[in-house]
Amino acid sequence: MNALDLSARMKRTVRAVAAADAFALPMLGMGPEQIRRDLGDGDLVRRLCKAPPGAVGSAFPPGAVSDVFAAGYLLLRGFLSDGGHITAARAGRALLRLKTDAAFRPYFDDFLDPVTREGLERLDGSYVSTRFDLVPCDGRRINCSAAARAWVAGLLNPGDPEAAIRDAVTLSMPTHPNAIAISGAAVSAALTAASFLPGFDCGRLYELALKAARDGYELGLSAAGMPPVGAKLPQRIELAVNLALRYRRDPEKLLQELNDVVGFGAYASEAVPSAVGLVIAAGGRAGEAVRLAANAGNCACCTAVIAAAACAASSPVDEALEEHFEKVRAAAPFDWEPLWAGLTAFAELVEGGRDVFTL
Amino acid sequence: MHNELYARLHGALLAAAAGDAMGTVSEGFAPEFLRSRYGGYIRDLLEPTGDGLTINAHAGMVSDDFSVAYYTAQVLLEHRSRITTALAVEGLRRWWQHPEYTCYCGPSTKRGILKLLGEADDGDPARLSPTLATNGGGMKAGMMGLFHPGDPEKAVEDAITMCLPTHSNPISLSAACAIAAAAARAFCPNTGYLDLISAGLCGISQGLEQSAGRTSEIAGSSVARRLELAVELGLRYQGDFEQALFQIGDTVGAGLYAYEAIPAAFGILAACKGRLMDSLVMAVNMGSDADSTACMLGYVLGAWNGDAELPPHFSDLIDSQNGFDLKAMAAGICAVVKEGIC
Repeated sequence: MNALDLSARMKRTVRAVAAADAFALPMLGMGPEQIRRDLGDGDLVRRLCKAPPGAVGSAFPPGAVSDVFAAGYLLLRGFLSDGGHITAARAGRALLRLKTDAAFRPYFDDFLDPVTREGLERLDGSYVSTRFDLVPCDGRRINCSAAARAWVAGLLNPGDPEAAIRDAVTLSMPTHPNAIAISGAAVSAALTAASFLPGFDCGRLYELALKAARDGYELGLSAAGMPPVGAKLPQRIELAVNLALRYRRDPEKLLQELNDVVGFGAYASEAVPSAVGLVIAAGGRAGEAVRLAANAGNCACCTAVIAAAACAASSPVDEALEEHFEKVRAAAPFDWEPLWAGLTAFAELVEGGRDVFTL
Repeated sequence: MHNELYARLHGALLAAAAGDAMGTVSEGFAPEFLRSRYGGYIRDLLEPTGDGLTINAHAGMVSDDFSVAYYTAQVLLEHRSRITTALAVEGLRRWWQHPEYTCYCGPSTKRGILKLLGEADDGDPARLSPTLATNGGGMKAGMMGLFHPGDPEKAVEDAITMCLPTHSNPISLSAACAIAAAAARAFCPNTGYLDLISAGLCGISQGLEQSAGRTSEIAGSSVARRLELAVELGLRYQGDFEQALFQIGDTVGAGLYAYEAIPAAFGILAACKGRLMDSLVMAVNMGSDADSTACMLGYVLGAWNGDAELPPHFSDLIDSQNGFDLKAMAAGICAVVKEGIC
């Protein structure tokens, strides 16, 4: 893959991730049945829409993104300014901009999950200890927000899932020093990296997801130094993929089964396995995976972003996603040109330093 | 009073309290950590270590799980009445006077009580709980099974009445109904442990039907489907205690959400074939929301097995540490049941 192709795929991934976040935002906090009823006129939602009154995303126009993409954007810009090198310190500084930068403060105020929020408070010294900090096991930081940002680690290790997993650990530690959260981040990063590999199919995707979940868990255990408390990812990934294969021709049934058994909630052990299942059900097509993830609701932005990143580089350009991205471009305060330039420069660095990748 | 009904009622109360008290030592911990710390499984009422989620507690003290139901039952016995919304609220208010228990209050219960009291919720960021589909209904609804021994349908109706003030969503309510129904069914003659599981599933369906239109829609997994998964795992690993413990905990989860803790309880029941102490030990050593899971199992399996199954020192220790009189409560419930008051 030459630099031109690589940078095109990387940019496509970023656009798909932004579009996924925007498409899913109106569905946040709703269940699949409610989404069909209230937003889809009895069917799946296929176009960017506005959240109904009273819903989590109702204050935002179509095209608005959540903290999920905003955090990813800040991380990516931060790492690209240093040749794509990922360090915990740089990750922390980037994420702190959600709190300190006026342009990004609305994402902190309106969306940011409690785990990342606490992580930022620890980073800037404003955290006040509670009795829960005395417990030598961690059942609080097991949500999926680290996984929802870990696509950045995958993007900056195109074709190298092992390196992506290691960088996912680094990227997650400032806010999610927890093996379950890191396990989820590892899956997201590994699949994103692998989507740049030629001939990467859904079978290998499933195997890689399981491997990344296990490897990420072990690395996370060493890094965090504290056992996590909660359901684990490998078992849930197996369940999700089984359901995906069984119901892939019936999207409504697929979403209901995944919701009921695996879940689309905030735990890493729900959103990440379900995202994997949806990507497989969609045959690795980013547009379809994102539509399914958004129509799943609940923690829809995280699921949709993880799904988009896992297959955007390898699937054909999706017109709907590109249209959604144009709405994002109009609605959101991001500097796209420096980002594209950074990705172009990074791709040239990669071409200069690496050969064709294989798993 | 030594008849079978009394023995089962006392068994249920004591086992629920014991499950809660044993579980306060392991709540919030991972199972592998617990094994390492205790050199094996926790099988008794132990002194908390000070680095867990318990506050100023001692061996035998219960937490919010059993205490909220205990004070609600007290109210019902004083009024000699079936539960009503007003009595459910009175029970909550009485419980709220006990900081030794309310310090453990879960997010949904806290939000509900503060609303009832007309106070603002300061939101406890340390709890980090993003949704309200929690197991706070399930942890107390087993008591309604005791007030309707052998009548799961009435137990479900009363579980809904009891839980609606704090858990007005279909996920939490259906989970609560599962426990109430199974606890009630446990009193029926010729009931096997698989019947208890069936009763739980029926309770979920009935709970969803009866609460339709009275609850707020909420996103989350299905208690019924997760319960089926947990039971499948429990049945598969019968005879392998450790595998069952880890498979149920790792796959289904045993945490705060109603679609984790209640299914885990039934999975444990299946794995242990309804044996009371084995089930409590598995729940306690699964960690996570151990006290809730064990408390719920206590209602169902204490009623099913009777009060002879628990270690003899449990009764006096639990009563003395909490200021309870579980024998008197069992006798009181027995009396109102026999008089047909409920």
